[in-house]
Amino acid sequence: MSLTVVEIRLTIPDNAARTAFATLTRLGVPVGGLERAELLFVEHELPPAAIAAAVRADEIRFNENTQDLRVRFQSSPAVGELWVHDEPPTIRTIVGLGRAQAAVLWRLTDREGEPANHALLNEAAKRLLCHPVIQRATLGSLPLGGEHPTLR
Amino acid sequence: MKARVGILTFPGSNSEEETFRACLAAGIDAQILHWSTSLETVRRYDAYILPGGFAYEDRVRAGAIAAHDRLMEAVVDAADRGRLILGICNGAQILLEAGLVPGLATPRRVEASFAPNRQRSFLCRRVYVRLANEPSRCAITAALPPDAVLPMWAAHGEGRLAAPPTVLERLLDGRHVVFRYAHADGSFTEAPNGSALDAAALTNVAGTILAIMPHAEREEASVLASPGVSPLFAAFAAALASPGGAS
Repeated sequence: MSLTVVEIRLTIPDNAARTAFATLTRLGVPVGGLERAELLFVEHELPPAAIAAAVRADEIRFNENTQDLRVRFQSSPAVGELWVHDEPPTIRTIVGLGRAQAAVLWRLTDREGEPANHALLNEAAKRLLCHPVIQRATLGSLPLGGEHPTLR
Repeated sequence: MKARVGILTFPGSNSEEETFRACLAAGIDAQILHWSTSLETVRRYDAYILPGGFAYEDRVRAGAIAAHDRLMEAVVDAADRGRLILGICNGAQILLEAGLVPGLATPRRVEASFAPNRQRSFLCRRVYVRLANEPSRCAITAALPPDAVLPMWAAHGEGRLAAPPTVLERLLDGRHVVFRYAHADGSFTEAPNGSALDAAALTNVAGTILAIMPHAEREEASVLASPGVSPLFAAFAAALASPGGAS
């Protein structure tokens, strides 16, 4: 069994991301851009390409008219990303693959268009994107090789 | 002068009409306020009700966006001045996301959640709730008889009270749980959604805010309802009319 992380994002305007961006801006968090995606953490013996194909074929999980899908090379957030997990975890069932944990990916940029640093991710998580009691956020803001901090 | 209650709506609110009718039946001078209403106008009301629904489509989390809406400035200011505020279902979620309930910390912060139900599915059924403490612990329930049992309608996907153990202890110590789920005969029962403390409703430290998950206002329109005014709205009317109720 190996872990494959699948990212699904909307290809049409994302109202939730736009609303979250407007709210963060209203709260004074200096965010320049905000994107959202769903992450599926699939533990399965199939290779990543086959897992991606299975997710694509599941019409409940994926709509090719409005969504795009890619397999992540890393199972941790990249710089500028915030991964928010529910506690207890949200579980999705994927046809042909079974159960997979889900999380929300928020990709933030600062007002210069650069990936958000630790302070900005931390502020956005605390002010809106991560509930301190029922969610857990992992911040992708350290240099490669560093341990990703977890925020509760 | 009679207190005026603003029923505050957000894009996605859907219970404002039933709430208005329940207010009308109880003799409460209420008005539905559209989200485009100016903040200045919203501030003119003496008390507020946040009705049920899916404010902002539950984007980010249930109640999370509405809790930071500009109109909530009026609600927060009113709460700071001890005005009465009733949040029903999504309105209750908004109050928790705004940190107004339970309001243990200074400065205000989010301490608890009406989180996804234990069964991870939408709960839609008639329930009974019973006062868990003396009626006067919350000003809005002060006119109810002790141990009052009220029929209501649960209709939520996120109504499970969740909080750290230390906060739950403080909720018990401070008698913040206003209603617990009960049987029709008044005996307490396990919450149908897995809510901590079997809580159906919470109040703040001062007892001026009530965040309740089941819909008291829908009982009025139900074929199963007893004729008459919703007891909770009658109690709310009494609280508004009491000295200091709308001051």
